[in-house]
Amino acid sequence: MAMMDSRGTVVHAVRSAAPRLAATAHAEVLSVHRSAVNIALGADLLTIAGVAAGGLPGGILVPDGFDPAALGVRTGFPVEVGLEAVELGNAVSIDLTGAAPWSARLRPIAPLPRDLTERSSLVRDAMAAAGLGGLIGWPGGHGPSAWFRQAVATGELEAVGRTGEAIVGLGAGLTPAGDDVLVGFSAALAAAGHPWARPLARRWARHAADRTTPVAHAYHRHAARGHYAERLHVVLRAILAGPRGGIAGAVDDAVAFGATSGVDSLTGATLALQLTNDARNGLVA
Amino acid sequence: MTMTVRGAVYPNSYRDSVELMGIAAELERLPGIARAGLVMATPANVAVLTEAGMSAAAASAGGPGDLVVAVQAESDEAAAAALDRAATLLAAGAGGGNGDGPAERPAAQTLHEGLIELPAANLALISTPGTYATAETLRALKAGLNVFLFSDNVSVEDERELKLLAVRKGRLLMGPDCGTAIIGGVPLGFANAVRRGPIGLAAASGTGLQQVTCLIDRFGSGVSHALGTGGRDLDERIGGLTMLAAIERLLADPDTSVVVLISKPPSAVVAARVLDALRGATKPVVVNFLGGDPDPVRAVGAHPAATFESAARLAVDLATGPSGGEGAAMDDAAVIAMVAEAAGLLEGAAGIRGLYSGGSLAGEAKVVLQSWVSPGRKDRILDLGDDEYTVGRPHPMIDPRLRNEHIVAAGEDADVGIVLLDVVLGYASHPDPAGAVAPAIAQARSIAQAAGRDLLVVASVCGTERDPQGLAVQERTLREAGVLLAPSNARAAELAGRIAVGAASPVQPAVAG
Repeated sequence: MAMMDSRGTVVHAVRSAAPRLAATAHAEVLSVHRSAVNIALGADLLTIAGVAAGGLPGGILVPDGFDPAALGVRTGFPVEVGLEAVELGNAVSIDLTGAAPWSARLRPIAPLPRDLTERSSLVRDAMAAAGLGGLIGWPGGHGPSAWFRQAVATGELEAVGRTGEAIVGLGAGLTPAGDDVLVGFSAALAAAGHPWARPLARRWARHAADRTTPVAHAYHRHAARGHYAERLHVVLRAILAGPRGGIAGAVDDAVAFGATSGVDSLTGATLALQLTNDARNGLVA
Repeated sequence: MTMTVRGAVYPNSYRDSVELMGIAAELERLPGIARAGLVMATPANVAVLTEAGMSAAAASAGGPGDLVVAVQAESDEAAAAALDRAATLLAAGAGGGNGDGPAERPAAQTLHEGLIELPAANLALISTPGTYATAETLRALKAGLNVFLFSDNVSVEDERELKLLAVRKGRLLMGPDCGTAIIGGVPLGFANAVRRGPIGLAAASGTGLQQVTCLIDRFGSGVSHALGTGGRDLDERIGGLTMLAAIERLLADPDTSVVVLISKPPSAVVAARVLDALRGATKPVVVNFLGGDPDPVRAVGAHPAATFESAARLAVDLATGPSGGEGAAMDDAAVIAMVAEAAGLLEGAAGIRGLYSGGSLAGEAKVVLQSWVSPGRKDRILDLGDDEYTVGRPHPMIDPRLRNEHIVAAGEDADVGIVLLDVVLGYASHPDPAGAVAPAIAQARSIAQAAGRDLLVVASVCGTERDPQGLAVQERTLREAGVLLAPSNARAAELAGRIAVGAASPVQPAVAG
């Protein structure tokens, strides 16, 4: 029986946004979580997660109920990467042959809605109930966070870029809050078709090297290529193109992601929508 | 006061922000702690620690992937205690052994770790999504454990391979899709609190096993072991592997003096194999192949039973000596009395709508009703635990809302005069199934009455007084809701059938009990 070979449990991937995987000189398990495992592939990151996480840039989705710790996966396990399978030590083999491809590229949602001001208000109202996120209240977070907000209000590209760099790596957790804010910010700019999306994302990705966690750095690099998590695709589409009545629900779903990552990335997104709206209304350059 | 700063570094340790902030908050509540922080050692976060005068805590951090626990305390002792507490909390929250810092041994996360903690374990209960169940079962069997496999969505091919392995290793694999068992008095899954005694059971039928064990308890005897085989064990592709293994064990078990087998009728090939195993049995065996032909059972020297109730009665009589049938006669009389009482209450349509949480109980109801009502009527018996009803919804034995919706709908249906229900007690079932269904019954009857119709509700409670819900309390709740209560599921179906056709006489049904 194929499932019973010595490589342990075979798990069949459902969706994949991972690039065509080739054998990598050095790969190992970086971190193991309740329903996900992060793998360091050289300088890149591969995430394997249960389907409920939604599509992830550089990610492979497997059926829900995936509990890598219970399956015996441990940090530091060697990982063998191939075209058809990813082997996590001898504990788990991820079969890629049946995985449906998914693109993490976030394309502009055009045209921008005429009622963007009202929609942004609805997002802020829904966010008010979601909590403060991982940056507000973080020791030393208030200042840099406020400077970033002020820079956004001025609408000056250099100021936004520079103050954004100051919150890279700032905050608690696997993906520090500041990084989540910046990824959410560039995602919303990308969805709005704003020309600053890619330049800012690239700038912050360069700055993040050695200044934040490997996982957060990976998400910056994905953002620099225009790739974002599916949950951001979904909530931004709801905000920019869906019925206004659905915005609150979409925000609720988005902020439920992770511990504070959902709130933080939406915080960045709302700032970007503010910038976009101000630009359209001629308030900023 | 001079404060002391201490830290601990956990290389490559990744935790979510809420967990880290929660631990920091707890540390700050410890005596002698002024400030605490758990941060990834990114330059920005280390700068924050520096501003707070706690940069020394991060001195040995290697990079942004390291977790720093920093405390500012009134004394070295307070700082050390706080760092110990942080280590304990981080270990307790460890999902996969992240980090290499000091930690208590975490709770067992794998089968292997569980066996280290409990080396004398001889059974694994596995309840994982089907995708992972096969591999976990394989591990358990290879480790020498018997297995109670609650998971479903295991392929037929995998089930056969696993059961062949179990046979080779002399172990019992109950399942997949096994919901009920009692091993040496220990209930597993959806089981009831029944008296221990000399009757052993093997069943490919979860609620069938529950009904028979509860009735054995009610009739004054008890259960040695009740072994589940999984719903598909008697399929031709599996060949009854677990049933055969269970029979062998029960026949050899010194605590078992009577054996009961329960299933819907298997294929002829599998039935022959199972019955063959009973030839020459040194203990009496009762065979309840629901709706099956009794002659092949008698031919091997076993005792056929057509219903769960008759299987329980026979088994108790064989274990304790013939009771003379007084209990059965009393229950007959009770049913006749209820039919007489109900006569005239039901005017108009007398269609039966069975709304069952137990598949086997629904199956028994269909078999019993065949003796009382003719086909072509508008009767419907639904197994609401079937996959078509439970996609995305909890099983009706746990969550009553689905069945309650159907009960109310029955009140709106002009073709329905009788609603037939099972109410199942026991471990893992709803804490108050009768209380949960009573409002829906009241609403359905009210809807029917408003439309000028009658609606009778007939039910039985599968349970014992020792069950968490309490049999007497549950029965009282149902009676107060106007339910006509029968002492068993078979009797309830008989009662519904008799009322439907107006048969108040003590005529025996065509199928021998």
